[in-house]
Amino acid sequence: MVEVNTNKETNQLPSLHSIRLLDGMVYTGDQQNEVVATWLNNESSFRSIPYFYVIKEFERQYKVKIISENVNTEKLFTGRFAHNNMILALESITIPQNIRYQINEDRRVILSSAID
Amino acid sequence: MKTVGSYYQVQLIRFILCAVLVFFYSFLLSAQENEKQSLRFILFELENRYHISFAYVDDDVNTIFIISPPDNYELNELIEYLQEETGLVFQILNDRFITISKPSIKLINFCGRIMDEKNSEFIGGATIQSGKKFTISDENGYFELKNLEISDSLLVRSLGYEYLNAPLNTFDGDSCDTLFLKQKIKKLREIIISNFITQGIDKDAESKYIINSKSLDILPGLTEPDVLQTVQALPGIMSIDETVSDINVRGGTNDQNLILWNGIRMYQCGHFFGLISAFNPFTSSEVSLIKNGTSAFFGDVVSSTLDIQTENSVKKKISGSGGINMINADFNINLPLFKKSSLQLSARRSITDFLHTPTYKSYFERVFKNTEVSNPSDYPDSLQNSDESFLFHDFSLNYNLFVSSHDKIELNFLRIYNNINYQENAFISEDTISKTSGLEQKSIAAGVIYRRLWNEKFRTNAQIYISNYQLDAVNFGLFIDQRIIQENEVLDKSLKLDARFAVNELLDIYGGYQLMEIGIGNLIDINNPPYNRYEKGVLLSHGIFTEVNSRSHSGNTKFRGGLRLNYISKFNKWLLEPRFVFNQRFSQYFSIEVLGELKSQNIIQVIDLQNEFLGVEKRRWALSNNEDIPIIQSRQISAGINYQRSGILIGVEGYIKNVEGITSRSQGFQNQYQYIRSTGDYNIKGLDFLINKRFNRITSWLSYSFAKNDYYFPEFTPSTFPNNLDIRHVLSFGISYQSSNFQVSGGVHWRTGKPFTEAIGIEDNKILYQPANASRLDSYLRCDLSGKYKFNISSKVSGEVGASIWNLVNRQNILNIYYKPDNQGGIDEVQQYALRITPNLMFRINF
Repeated sequence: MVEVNTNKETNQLPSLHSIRLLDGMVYTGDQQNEVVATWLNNESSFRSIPYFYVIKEFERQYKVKIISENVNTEKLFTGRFAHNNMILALESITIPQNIRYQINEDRRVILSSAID
Repeated sequence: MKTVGSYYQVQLIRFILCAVLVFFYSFLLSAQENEKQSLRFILFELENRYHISFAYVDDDVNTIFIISPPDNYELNELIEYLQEETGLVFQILNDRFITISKPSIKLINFCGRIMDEKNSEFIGGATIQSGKKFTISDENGYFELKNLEISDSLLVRSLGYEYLNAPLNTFDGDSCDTLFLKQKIKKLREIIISNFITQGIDKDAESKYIINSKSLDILPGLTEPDVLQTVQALPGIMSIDETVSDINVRGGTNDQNLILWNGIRMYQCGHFFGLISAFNPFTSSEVSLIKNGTSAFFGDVVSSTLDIQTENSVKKKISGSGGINMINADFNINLPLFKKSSLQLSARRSITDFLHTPTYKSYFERVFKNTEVSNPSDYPDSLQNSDESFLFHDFSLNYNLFVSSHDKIELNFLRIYNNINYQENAFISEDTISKTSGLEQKSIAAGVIYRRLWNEKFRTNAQIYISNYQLDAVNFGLFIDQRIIQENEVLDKSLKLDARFAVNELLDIYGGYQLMEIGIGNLIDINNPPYNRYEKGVLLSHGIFTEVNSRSHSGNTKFRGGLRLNYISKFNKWLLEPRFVFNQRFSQYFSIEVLGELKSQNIIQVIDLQNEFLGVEKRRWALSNNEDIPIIQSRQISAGINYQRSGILIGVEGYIKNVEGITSRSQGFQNQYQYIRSTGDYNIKGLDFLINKRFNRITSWLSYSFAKNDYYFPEFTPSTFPNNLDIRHVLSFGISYQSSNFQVSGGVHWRTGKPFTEAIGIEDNKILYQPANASRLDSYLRCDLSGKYKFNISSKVSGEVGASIWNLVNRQNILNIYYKPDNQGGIDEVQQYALRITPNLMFRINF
């Protein structure tokens, strides 16, 4: 059991759960199963979400087609990407997995693992 | 009163309890503060505090726990802190987005060859492992491993070698690096005192001094790490006549020292008739000196053993050095040949035939004054000596070859050469007659050693060598038209075999056999009146020995006991010689040692006439004949205590030594016993003391030796009288300073004078004397200074310049006084002086 102090409230946090602090608000949820995408501040946010959901959300936001080669899309991802800058957003989701990306003219994005 | 008392007691107990609680509580609090927290949680907190967003793969972060960063960090500091603590890569994309990733894993293919560091032999069957992948090297030492993570490390293991373990990124894996393994050598030697006197001199558990000439600091008065000069810094060792060719260890004469060069016995050890050592200081890598408790491996002499080893490892790179000082120039080079062998060559030559430096003049006067070279004995007034030319050189070759990883062959060759020629001019019946007299002293030594390592427990060595020494003099007497040729030659042919078996970590057994055949020839040839005498003798001796070396589990107790049996076939004589060394460490800083030995010797140096060989090197080698030259036998026991603590070393050692069977001819008497042949003994009791203190860059030492050394010649009256080498007190003090490229060293050496016999009159051209050695020379005092500066010329080439001053205050020390009849029926007193102020300079390049 870990005690978490935010501005005013004190939350008791079971160990298998995560906590999300967003604009001063506290969200708690099951670490493994939480599937959340938020659009606050023009961002998509993920908390321990399998990577393929992240890819889907990205395709939806930027109207692109993502083709992933030898990328483990089952891995759980935590983080956000911005809606107003595709390169920045792409980097936000690829760098943590050491993924290389390539943007083609027909709005296709190819992801490949940097590890051979 | 009682209740009040108990009240206070209760208060006191409460107070103590409180204090203890407060203490524990604050301890717990502080522990809490430093407790590690989950990285995931810390990241949530930081996202909120800094308004940032971290993006990561859960797996990379979940298992990491770190101490929370301090609140006052700037973002950059924070990221730096997190990277440091987690080992993950944090990348700031902009002021909001930060990605976290594992350091990118680069997979590489790796190949290489495993090689023995020492013999350049490829090692097959070695295990090479990285992460979960492993392979075994083939017979050519080659291996390949695929898909290794660059962040992993490589571990190489092979039987009999030390592990090699290093991160993969330190290798250049693409080009198939050669990886060198070090042989796991069982440490037979254990240093108990390191930096004895100065850096580069150690003392091991067997009380043997080990001088590593490469790491040797400069000693006062010397610019070069001259081995035979360096040993004289050790307590109990000195040269009473100030030459390296006459070193006295615990009151013994020079012929009682065994001097080995790569296992070959040498019969000459000085250039310039004793002023500098004949062994190039830049080729010797290790010199051992034994005063007592000699290994049973060594026979032949009754005093010390000096074992000079040149470089015997196989070099992989060309290296060498060259230098010049005011006496000689030298050069040496190590050449690797075909990976499995290397050759070391060295050469040195005097420069004095074309450059008469002050150093040379000083040396020349020291060596040749009062000899035939500067004072011809016949009609000195009308004779003139001119055009003296002096030359010396030496050359050595060492070849080390690994035939296989277990078999090694070493070839060693050494040549030492000295020559002095001078022209004598005389005016006889208005004609000028000139003749050239001269003296040549030379040695040639050659040997082969075959070493085999049968397995980790058993190793053998075999050596065959030849050592030849020759001293030839030609002396012309101009007025009497006489030519005298004198020669002394030694030819030593020996075989040595030894084997060492390690029973276990704590015990090993050593043994072997030696065969020595020493032949000595003496020639005297006079043309007028015609006279020729050539004598040659050969002595064959056998030696077998065995030794056990053991130590306790704790390593605090060490013992070596040996037995040597010598057989001299000519005299049908058996000599049994036990030897031992015992060393016990008690408490952290103290150790005691007890040593003992019996030794014998059947070849000596005698002086027949003081003017033989021009009076320069008048000692000639002679064999025992079991009659007037008996086999010398010695007994010695010593005990010492050492105290060593960081920066300070104190050692005291007392000894008693008895040497029987010395002939008066070997002692060089210059008194009533000069022409008398008799045999006797000498007994010496002494104490060697040393204190050595180091402060950061300063080393200082003070050594003191006390000894009482008496002869016993039953045929002389009185029978007991002081030894020619009886020096009661010797005190030396030295101090040196060292920085990374600069060294300076100064020293003072004081000792009581040696005994001499005063003349009281002359009768029938025969000098009458006081009782032998009843008087003493004035005490000897010398101050020396030297300095050296090192600099880099390029990354591979460095230079050194140095200067030294011997006898800085230019004191006139008397080394000897003797008498001779003058031409008017009186007596001349001859005083022999030590070196006066003698500067020297040197310059050297190392590559």
